Amino acid sequence: MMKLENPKVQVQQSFLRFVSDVKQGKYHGSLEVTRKTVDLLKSLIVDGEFTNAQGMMSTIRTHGSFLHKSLPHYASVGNMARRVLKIVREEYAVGRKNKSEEMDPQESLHKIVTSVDSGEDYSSPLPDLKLSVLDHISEFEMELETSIDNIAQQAQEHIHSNELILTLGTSKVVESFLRKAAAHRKFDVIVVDCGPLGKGHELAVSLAKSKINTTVIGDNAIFGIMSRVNKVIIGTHTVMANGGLRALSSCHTVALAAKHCSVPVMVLAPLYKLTPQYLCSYDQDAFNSYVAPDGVLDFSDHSTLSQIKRYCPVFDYVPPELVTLFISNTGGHAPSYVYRLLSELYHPDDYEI
Amino acid sequence: MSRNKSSKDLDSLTKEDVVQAVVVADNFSDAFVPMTNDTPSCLLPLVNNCLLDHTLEWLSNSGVQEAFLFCSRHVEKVKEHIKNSKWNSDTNPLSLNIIVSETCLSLGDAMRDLDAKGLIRGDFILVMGDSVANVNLLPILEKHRKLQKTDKGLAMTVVYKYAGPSHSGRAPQDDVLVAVDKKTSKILFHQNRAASSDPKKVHIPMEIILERPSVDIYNDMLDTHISICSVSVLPLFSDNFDFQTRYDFIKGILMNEEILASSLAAYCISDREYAASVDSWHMYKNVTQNMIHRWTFPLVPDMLDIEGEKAYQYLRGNVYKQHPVTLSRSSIVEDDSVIGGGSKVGEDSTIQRSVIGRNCQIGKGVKIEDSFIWDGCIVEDNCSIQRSVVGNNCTVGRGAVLSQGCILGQGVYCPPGYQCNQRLQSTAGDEDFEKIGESAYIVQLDDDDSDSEDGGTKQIWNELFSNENFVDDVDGDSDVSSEMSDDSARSVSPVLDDTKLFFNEVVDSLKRGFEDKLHCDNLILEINSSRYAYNVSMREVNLLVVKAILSLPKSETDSYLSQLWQLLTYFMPILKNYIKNPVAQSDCLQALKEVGLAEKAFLSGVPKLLNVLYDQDILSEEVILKWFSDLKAEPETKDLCRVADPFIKWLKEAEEESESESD
Repeated sequence: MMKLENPKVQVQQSFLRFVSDVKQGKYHGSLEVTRKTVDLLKSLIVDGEFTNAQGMMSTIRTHGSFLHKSLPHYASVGNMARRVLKIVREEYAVGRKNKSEEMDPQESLHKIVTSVDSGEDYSSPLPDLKLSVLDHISEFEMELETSIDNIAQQAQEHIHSNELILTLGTSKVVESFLRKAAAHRKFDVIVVDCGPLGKGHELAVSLAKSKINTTVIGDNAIFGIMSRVNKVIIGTHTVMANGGLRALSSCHTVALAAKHCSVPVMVLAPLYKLTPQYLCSYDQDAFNSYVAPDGVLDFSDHSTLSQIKRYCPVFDYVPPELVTLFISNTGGHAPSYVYRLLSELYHPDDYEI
Repeated sequence: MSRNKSSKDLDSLTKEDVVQAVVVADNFSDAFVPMTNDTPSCLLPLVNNCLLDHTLEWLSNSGVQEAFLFCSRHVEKVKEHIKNSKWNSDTNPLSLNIIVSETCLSLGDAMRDLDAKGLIRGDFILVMGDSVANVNLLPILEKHRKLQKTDKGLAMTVVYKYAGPSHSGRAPQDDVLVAVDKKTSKILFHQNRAASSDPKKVHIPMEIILERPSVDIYNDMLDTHISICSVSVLPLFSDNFDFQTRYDFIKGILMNEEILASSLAAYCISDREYAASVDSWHMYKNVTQNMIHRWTFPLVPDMLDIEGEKAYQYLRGNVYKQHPVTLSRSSIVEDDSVIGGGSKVGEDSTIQRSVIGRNCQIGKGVKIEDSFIWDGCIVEDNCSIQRSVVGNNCTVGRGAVLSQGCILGQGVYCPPGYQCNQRLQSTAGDEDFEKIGESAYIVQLDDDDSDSEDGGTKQIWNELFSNENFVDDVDGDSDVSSEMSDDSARSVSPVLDDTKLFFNEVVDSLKRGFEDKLHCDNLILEINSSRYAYNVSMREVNLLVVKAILSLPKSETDSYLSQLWQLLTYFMPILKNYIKNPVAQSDCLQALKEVGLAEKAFLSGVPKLLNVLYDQDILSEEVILKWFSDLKAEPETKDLCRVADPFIKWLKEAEEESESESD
């Protein structure tokens, strides 16, 4: 493996390549990026020579934080580094426990309570660690692969016959969720186009192909149509630690309109989208990304250009109180429960990566 | 994102061919003097990153696999830059080869050199090292290849971008008018309006429109200076050593399409994509603004991925800050500004619509507007910098005022309190520039047309900021317009010279042709080629050819008329070739009139001449009659009227006869 000469940034070339590929948009969808991140982290463990968990963890952490810093908009990339770290911790703890059990099978309750948590110290050697971690990661990869299916399986519980469902933009999870439901029930879908970037049309076309009654509406019609809608089902880019969403712009509009009309908002979020970050300010570095304003105004339209400032943000922040339910691959959760899921998914020490 | 589908596009191109690009590092002009005195133009910073990096980033993003960087000036610096950049690493998807040729003075030379080196194997993308773009090149390349299948001679696809006629993104020197065949995208006509004699008028040859079902004429295109070239481009440059610039090439190909057996195609990139070439201060300013306004996304400061550089933070109001920037509490940074890492801004200073480089020290109470301050500058207290460029490591003394297109070369020390609106550089140079302080000399541009005393500086300012964004500069604008009218008045005479030269050439050809008994077809070819050489319009050609034929016989001898008949019968095919339609006929008669006025001996031959031309079906009845009635109205053509009268009478009688017959 090649390493850069600069000792400070000992990041492997494959990571640099990955970052530039993601920036150039060579990956489509967050699942693809997530999967590739896990692949890269796995290759780190496979290729590395580790005697104990500490070395392994520090390597993962360096690379993880590099990815996180280079791709601040892709929260799932940082999440995967946290998740792999958690896996290493777990496997280490299990390995240690097995060993200690061999030495002292009769552990008293008193000992357990008073013992200093051995998990804090990862320096003792554990020869089988690499294998067990790799096993665990493969399991996790399986979980990733099936996450969309798992969410779609729950469709029947949430969509009933003759309902009017509103969704927006394009999202793979939403698409398969609706498809699954359509196999058993008959219902109508309204897709908000989400201009200028949103690809509502794409979703509508693919839904129409699976014989679902689909209507595309513009962003300006959201409020008007909301009173007739039974449920809002949307995907998201990231779920923040407080249960807020970082989702495609115009999600906030939809959520507010839904709140006004008391329509439940369901967010389909595979667990890898949960991130232990908060939104502190709208000017927060790397919260939003701004793309070229060509969708809003034409470059050739000179007379208006010189007089108008143009911004084209990609994301909206949706506060947690506007979300009714998160549907993840493990089931439905209320926004207030997200903190609990987070503590299950990641180790608190890894929140700041 | 839809604009980046490079991986998909790659598959559709055949696997084995590598997408090659030629990047010309130099712009072969002195537009950026004094900045380019010791720095190559491609290494000038644009939004704190050098132009070449922007270009290469774009090329690698858009799927180019192999690039040839062609250097001619300051080669060592370019090499050094590449060596220290990420383009040097093995794993970079773009493999970069540096070609050095220090003798090259123009793009044409560079192309000829490339041809001699034989490195290019197939179609290639030709860009300047100062391009900023995010357009995906692969679809354009594919289109080029598709067109190549139907048109074997396709040499180059010229890439344009839509931008309205008064768009600020269009440099005046790039104001082009293009006519394109709608079906085949072939360029039929290309005119640079700045170079043409009358910028307000366009002459599009009729045959372009008549020969095709539909033609698009564009006035709203911005030349991106990107071209997709077939392999035949390099030999074309080698064969035509007078092709110096890309414009020469386009003009040359269009004029001699049949001879060179080559054609050009146009490609318009969509509004969603951006491309521009920074070849003047005007473009420098515009491209910077476009980048700050994020038209060039993903080529924006906060997305750039340059090794050893911290990313920029993007804040409200299009303000970009690189870590670590020290802004004092009362300083104001607003509206489309960029501040590089390590810079400090003092109390009560305001920065608007400007770019500040890395490690700059801005003092207290400084006002910076619409300016570009490069790396490592020191601006002392109470300075005011407006619409200016301050090069690397300059020092602007306390209270100095830089305004209206002032440009400070690298390392200039501008003395305190100095008021400047000129170009300054730090060394005296070869010519004795006026010294205004320690390492500060006023640069005199050796432009031919800067004869008016303050024309030079006005022009720089005009280049940098001829933008209607700045409403307060009304008087400046009027200056510009007066300059423009001067230009047009000056350029009338050379056109006359051209026609005169053309006329002499035609007379020579005809004389030689008659003496050597050359075939008339060859003579027509000869006349046509000199027509292109002197850029004479078709109507003028008609007029001048007839005139030339009529004035060939030596006037003093009695045998004028007999000579004339001889010549006329010999040159009849030429006349038939040129005098085809009523417009040409009236041109022919105009020539007749002019010769008749000048040449007394000719007068007696007029009726017979008219008769012959009428019999030969060269002139039609209506045109002759119309001409005659016009003649009568003018007093000085009395003689001509008198001699032509019998013929006209006969003509009218013949007409009446034929009418009565038909009755």
